[in-house]
Formats: sequence, C-alpha cells, structure tokens
Amino acid sequence: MTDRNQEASRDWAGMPRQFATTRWSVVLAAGDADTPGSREALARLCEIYWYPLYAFARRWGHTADEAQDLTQEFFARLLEKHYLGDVKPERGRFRSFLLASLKHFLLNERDRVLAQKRGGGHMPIPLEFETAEGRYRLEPRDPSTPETVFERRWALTLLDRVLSQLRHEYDESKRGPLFQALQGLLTGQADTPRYAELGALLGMTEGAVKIAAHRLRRRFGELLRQEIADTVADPADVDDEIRYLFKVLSA
Amino acid sequence: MSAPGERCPACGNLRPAGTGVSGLCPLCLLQIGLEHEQEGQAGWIDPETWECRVLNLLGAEGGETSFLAEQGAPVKRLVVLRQVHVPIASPDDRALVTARLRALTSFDHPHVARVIGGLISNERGLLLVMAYAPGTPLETYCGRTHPAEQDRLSLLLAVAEAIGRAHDRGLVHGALTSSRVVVTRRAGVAHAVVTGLGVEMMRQRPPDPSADARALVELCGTAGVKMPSGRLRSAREIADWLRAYPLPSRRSTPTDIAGT
Repeated sequence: MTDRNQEASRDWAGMPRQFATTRWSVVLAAGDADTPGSREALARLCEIYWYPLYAFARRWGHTADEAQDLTQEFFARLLEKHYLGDVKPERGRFRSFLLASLKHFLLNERDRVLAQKRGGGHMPIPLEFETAEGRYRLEPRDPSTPETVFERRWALTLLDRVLSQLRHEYDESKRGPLFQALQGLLTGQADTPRYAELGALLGMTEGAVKIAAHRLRRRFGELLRQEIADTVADPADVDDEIRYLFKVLSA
Repeated sequence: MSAPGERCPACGNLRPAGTGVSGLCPLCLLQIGLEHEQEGQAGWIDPETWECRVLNLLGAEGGETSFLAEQGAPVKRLVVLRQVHVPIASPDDRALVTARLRALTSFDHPHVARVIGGLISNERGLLLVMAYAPGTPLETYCGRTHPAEQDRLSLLLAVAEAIGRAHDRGLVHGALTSSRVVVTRRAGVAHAVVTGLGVEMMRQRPPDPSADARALVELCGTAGVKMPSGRLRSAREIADWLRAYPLPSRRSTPTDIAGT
C-alpha cells in the first residue's frame, strides 16, 4: 500500500458482494430455454434498440421497405430463439451480439425473406417503422460503414432513452419545468442561463439551483449506468462499455 | 440549444452530426456515466471489484494518515484514502460504522468532496475513500488572486450553505480549516469544495455542529470577511449573514445592513 509503484492493491477484507443481474444476463442465462423472464427481457431490449439495426440494413444497401421487412423478420426469428443457442455467455454484449447476428442473417436469409409476401408475418414487437425512414434520412451522408452507423446510432439511442427516462421521472413528480430549465446544465450548454438567472426564473436561490443541477446530473449518471448494465452480461463491464461508446462517438 | 455539428462549449469536441439527445453533447452525457458509478451496498465498497494503487502520502494529522491513490476499477480516477482509527472488531462497532458510512455516502452536495465509501484494509484498518478535489486552499487562493469582495462572499456562502446542509442531515465536519476548503475552477468560475467531511464523523463521539460554525467564522476572517464575533452560532445563520452582506453597491442604504 505504501509503495508508489505497487500494483493494484488487493488486500481489502470482505464485505459480501451482491450478485447482480442485468436484462442481457437474464437472456444469456436462459440460453435455449424459453423462460418467460428471458423472453420478456429480450423483447424489451429489441424494442429499445431496433432502430440501429434498421439504420444498419439501410446503409448495407437495402431500400426502406426491404430494411423494414428484414428488421421485422430478424426480430421474429431472434425471439423464437433461433439464434440464442449460439451465444457464448462469457462477457457478451447485447450490442455486439445483435450486430453479428444481423450480419449473419442478412448474408444468409435476405433472399428468402424478401421473396416472401411483405406484411404477411407476425410482428413480435411493436416497431415504429413510420418514423424510421424519416430518422434515417437525417443520418449524416458521410462515408461511414454500416457498422459505424449502427454503433453510433446505438450510442445515441441509448442516450436518448436515458434522457427520456429522466424527463419522465421529473414529469411524474411534477418537476417537468425544473427539468426543462436545467437540462442544458447536464452538459454545460453555452446558451444555458447562469445559476443566478435560472434561480430568478424558477423562484429558487442560486445555491438551490446548483444542488438541483447536481442532482439532475447524478440521476442521469445512475440511469445511464443502469441502461448500459442491461446490455452487458456483467455489471462490471459498464465502464468499459461507456468508454467504447465514447470512442465510437468521438471517431 | 445549439445545432449538431458545432463544437461543444464544455468539452470542445465536435458534436456528431445527426444527434438527437435534445441537442446536448453526447460525449459530455457519456462522461456523466463515468463520474457517477454506483457504489457498494450500505456505504461499503465491494472489495471484489475495487482496485487501487497508492500514489503518495498526502499528510498525517492527529494520527490520521491520508493518501492520494489511483483507483483502477470499476472506474479509473484519483481518490483520497483516509485512514480512520475506530474500532471495527465487534458487530456493534461495525454496525455503528456502517450507519455513519451510509449517512456520509448518501450526502451529495456540489460543494463537498463526496465520501465514496468505506473499505477495510488488512494492513490499515478502516479507510474512508473520498473523491479527490484538486484545487488551491481558500486562504492561498485569496492571497494569490485577490478576488473581489463579491467573489469571496460567493465562495464563503457556498461553503456555509454546504455545511448547513450537512448539519440538516446530521453530518458534522468537526475539523474545518482553510486548508480543507479548496478552490477550483468550473466552467471558468471559482468553485469552493469542502474536503475531509466524514473523518471526524467516524469517531466514536461525533463532534458538535457549533464547532463547524466557529470554524466558519474563522474561515471568513482568513478570506477577509469580518463577522460579528459570538453572534452567529450556526452554519445557517452564517449563510444568512453572508447572503445579506452589504456589498459596495448596497452600502448607501443602511436598512440593508440591519441585523448585521
């Protein structure tokens, strides 16, 4: 402990460690077994992260209609457990799994899927395709690979979802206007009024605004970590995943 | 909100085009996730997932030794380890320490260096793991930069309010000195942070809040703000007094200084 160059100290005596599960770890633990908990967990994850897959299929070269059909069929098969048996439970990420599975699916199944009559299949989860193409048209027209588009869109979808959750929490507790006023402080927006000005606007002291902003950031951080934890097999991987997404968005 | 594709004023990075996230910088948003990692249960850090190496000795005051350390996992950052000599052998001792740790780790204030958790080292007994708050001690900062009166008042008010808030939660600093208030810059503005909250708290007999009030009066004196001696007995009263302090622009109206 006292040696400056000593490697990571591991002499900490134990307080019992809590076993933690994540949505993705529930799915992985179930494997091929079709348990209600694992099916729900997977469906919930797919419902949140479908758009990056749609964007990937579009960038891969499919038309909007084809991308809709392929995404829909991919999820139908995924939820029927056609793919999960192949997943290695150790340290898997839902993001990596989805991308690898979709690529495999597009390479091997697309002709058969596209030959089927469109709209004839059962839609396993509600996907808002009406808005998807509008969103896709806003994607930058840079020479990004489909993989880059997928990962960037994944990161932004995740952040969007966390912001929505946070906004919802504030709305639920009748603090919607506070969220609206303070959200710019999450990232230090240039055009956000200073604490004192916000205080005058909200009828709060400057100190109270600082604390409210601090709590908003803290809650955002907690929700972000929870959301990411649901997509990794081990909660200890959350920091690595954040750093990876940081790299994706910085590229 | 500014448009995507511009540089973020906070981190300076170019924002990825086509971002949603309400026009906020996604890189800054991700960074928040690294700042706010979830800690162990009931104030104790999980030794299975926690790694750190000591970088150097920060000081040894009153038998309490503190180290600067680099935490490697679950998140990489600098922390301060403060060795606290309290009995932890019996279940009763452990329960008392756990209760105080829980209170300390749940206290989250922008002007107080956070207590991240407690850790038991085989070599050193109980260690408090605290957020590292880099900066200049308040007295040194005032001596070097000669901040305007309004800026000094603003720093002192933040400290008094933070201590008042801690007292509301039953937390007492007990060893507040000018070296335990550091000034750093956040978004270009001087920002005071109280360090060391929790060390005295972990002792068997928590100190009296009035000791913090006396220390605050002294702190104001070292920052060049003279307070009426003996009249202000709590952090709240001191904060109120600082809030109503007659600034030059207000000194022509005697009613403003009534009560001071």
